[in-house]
Amino acid sequence: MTRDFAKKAWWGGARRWAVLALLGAGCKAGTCGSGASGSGPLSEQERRGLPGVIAFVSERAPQKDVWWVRPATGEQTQLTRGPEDEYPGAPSPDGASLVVVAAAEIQGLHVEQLRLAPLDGGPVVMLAPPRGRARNPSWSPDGSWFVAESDAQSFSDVVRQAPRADAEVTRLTQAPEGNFEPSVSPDGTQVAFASSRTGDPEIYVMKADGTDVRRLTFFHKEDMAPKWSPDGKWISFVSDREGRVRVFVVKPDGTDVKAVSGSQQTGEEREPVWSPDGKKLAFVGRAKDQKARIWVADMAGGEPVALTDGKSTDDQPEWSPDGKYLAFASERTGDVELFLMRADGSGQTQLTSTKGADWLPRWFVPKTLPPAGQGTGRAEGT
Amino acid sequence: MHPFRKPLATLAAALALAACGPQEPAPTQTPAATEDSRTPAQREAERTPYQLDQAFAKAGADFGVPAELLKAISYTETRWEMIQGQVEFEGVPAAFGLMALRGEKLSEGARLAGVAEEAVRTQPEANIRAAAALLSSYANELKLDRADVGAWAPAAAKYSGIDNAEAQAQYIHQNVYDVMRKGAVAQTPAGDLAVSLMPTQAQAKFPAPGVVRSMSADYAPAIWRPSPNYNSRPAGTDVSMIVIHTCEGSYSSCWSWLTNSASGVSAHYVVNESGSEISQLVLESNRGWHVGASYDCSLNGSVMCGLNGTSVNNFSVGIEHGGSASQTSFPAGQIDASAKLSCDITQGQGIVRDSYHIVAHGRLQPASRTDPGPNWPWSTYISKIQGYCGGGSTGSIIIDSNQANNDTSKGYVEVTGTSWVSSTNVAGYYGSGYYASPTAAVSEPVTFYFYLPAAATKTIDAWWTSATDRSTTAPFIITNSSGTRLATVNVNQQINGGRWNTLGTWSFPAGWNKVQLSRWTTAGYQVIADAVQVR
Repeated sequence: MTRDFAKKAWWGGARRWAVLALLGAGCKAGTCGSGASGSGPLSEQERRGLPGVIAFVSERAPQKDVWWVRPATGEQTQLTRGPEDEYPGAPSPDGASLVVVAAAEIQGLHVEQLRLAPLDGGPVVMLAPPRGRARNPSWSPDGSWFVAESDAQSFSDVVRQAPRADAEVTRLTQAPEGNFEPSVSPDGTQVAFASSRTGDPEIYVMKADGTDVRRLTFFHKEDMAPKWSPDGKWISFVSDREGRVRVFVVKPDGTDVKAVSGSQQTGEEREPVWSPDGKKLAFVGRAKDQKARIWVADMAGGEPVALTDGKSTDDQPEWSPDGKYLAFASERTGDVELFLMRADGSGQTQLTSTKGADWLPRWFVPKTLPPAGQGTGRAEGT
Repeated sequence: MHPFRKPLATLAAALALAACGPQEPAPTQTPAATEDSRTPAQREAERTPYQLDQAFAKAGADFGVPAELLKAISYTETRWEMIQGQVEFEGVPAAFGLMALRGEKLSEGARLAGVAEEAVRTQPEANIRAAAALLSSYANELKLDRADVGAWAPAAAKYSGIDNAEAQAQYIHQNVYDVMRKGAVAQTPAGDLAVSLMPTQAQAKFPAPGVVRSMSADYAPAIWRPSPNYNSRPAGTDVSMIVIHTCEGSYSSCWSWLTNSASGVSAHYVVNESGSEISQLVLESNRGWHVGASYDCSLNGSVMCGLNGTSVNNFSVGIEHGGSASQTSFPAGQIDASAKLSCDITQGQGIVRDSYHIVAHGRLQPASRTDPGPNWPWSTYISKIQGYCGGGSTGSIIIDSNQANNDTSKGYVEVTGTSWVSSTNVAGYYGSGYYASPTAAVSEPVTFYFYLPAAATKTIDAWWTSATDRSTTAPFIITNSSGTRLATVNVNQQINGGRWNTLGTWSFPAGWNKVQLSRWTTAGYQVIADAVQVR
């Protein structure tokens, strides 16, 4: 199945490349997506140069587990084995471990727990007791603390703690209407978050100790999911202020708000993710009566470019640590699998192929690359 | 070859029928175009992209079951859609196909019809045949008169899997036989006839539903059908969330199961498919067991045992909806009824009306692939709740300087002249920016129009961003829909930026009234047109 898929795509792509070569054309802006999908997978040689590992959630077992895959080889290793559903959260800044969000139903209660899973297979650290809400972790740049959503003392607050068991947990927000989706600034001095304290969600920024709360957005619809750009210049968020959900950016001082997709017909937008240099924003757009596509917007200006062709649902883009590639989840084989592509949309390559959905990629450079062939890992999707 | 591509000669008859009596209430409001641009008719057509009358007729003839009964059961269960169900409640297997066959019934039907179980799950014809074979076996068992469609009611009740007598009666009289009496028709997206159920005089030979009903204490329109599956919320719990579920089955079977002590689950409310009926099963002040199933915490070295703190169940109200999460659309009437209910719950419990507080069951997971659910119209739903809870004509209207942010049926902005510059330079603006213009001896205003369906006394607020270059005498002119100037209010825009500032309260007639910000004041400054609120 995988082999057939790869072969077919490669032959189609070879012809297309030949035509492009004759025309002397590269991947032209705006047309890249549709052309790129058929441009053939990455060569073995190019694959071998891909950095790091990609953690993801897999539904190959009855419960969801976190696995990681080396994009260079396709080799997969299971990271978590709990009976709960486990999702990859944020990798630690040093790449030694991953915050995992575990979720389960216990005696009729939905519970979540943040855990720290070392990539070297060491013991998993329970970061806090299980509770109704423990999600959206975001690390300080030095890895000495992280923030997350917690309902330990309220409906939902932003809390801060050190990444170890029994650490003291500091509540950074107080609004009973709820505080959500914290994102630490790249210099570690501030935290952006959403809060419903005025009756609808707005974007706020506070100092990393919870003081000096500043409101960045003012509108009677929903502004949600702030994410700080890696260069610290922007905060992205999603808003339905125009009657459809769009990705916006705003400077951390509240000026210069703008929708990133300009006048491009992207449809409902979601899941913005910053390139490592902060210059580009990849996101998912689903236009009327169409399937979700992956788009990329350049912060320097211009219209966004579609990287996938919309023939199947493509979702959850994630940049490679060097910003040259993207991983994403796609339904194009009938199952949900992880794919890779160059940052211009070319070279789309299937990465996983196990029955059961593989999704939510988190691409990072591990502190030390775990030994090959460990655990139940096996090569796939080559 | 597609098995359901046979031409049908009765399209004209079907269309005539469609004109005289569709069964679903007409959608009361078109959902937001950006969310789903299909027309209600298109959405409905996509449910049944097959021509199925012949398959129903053949299965009926082959197994000695009235074809109209098969069609009526299918309509009741799935509105003629090939659903791929999920397990919503432990102990109730997922339902599949047009006939919503599940678990052992699916296996038994497949065996009796001589078709593969996988085919029953995925192929319309096999699904109908398995259901027909199963109903035929019930007819033998119950020794009923096959020629009398009304006599089939006990077989249909057995087919439903519903235990509760009142729910059975409701399923039979108000769903299966009701649609037989009224008739129904569906078209394929190509406009061909998908299924036609001609109206008949069928009368179910089955006990009628009880007439004594107690009303809900929390929500007057709901019927009180108490479930034993609840307990008290912990003292001091603030109810702060509404969790939206789908039953993965019909309304009647849903409330029946959730009021059965054997199920061990419940929800506070169940809304039926058309939105015409709501059951309340658990008081909002108590804790329903709508989130979750059993879990053996010892499986994981007891890591998840010994919970402390709060939980979603403690502080949420759960609403179930008749239907399946896999269905391609939800009836407008159901969304409407549910939004009214949610509005009432948020008012009673002081719940914030946004998508952090009104969430899909799936959103309780920290991450989702169907975010927040493929076909439930979330934006429409949340705005309907806001609308029922005081938005619209009775609530405030906000007109933003960015037209894309306006609902132009209620308010819009108009810019005169070429001097107004769109800006985001000073923080604290409303929405996505503001207009700035140098003061000058010319009006060239920015006009904020707002519509009032009836005469009303309203307070007007204005929003601007403050800076030292702003005018201290920015002139806001209030004019009513008959063109009468009601007032000019001069404001100091060097202060009070980034918030609503009251201009005054006036009586307005119905129609398009307006608030204008003119450039005509002391020269050498900027005037800032950002947003106007009418409340």
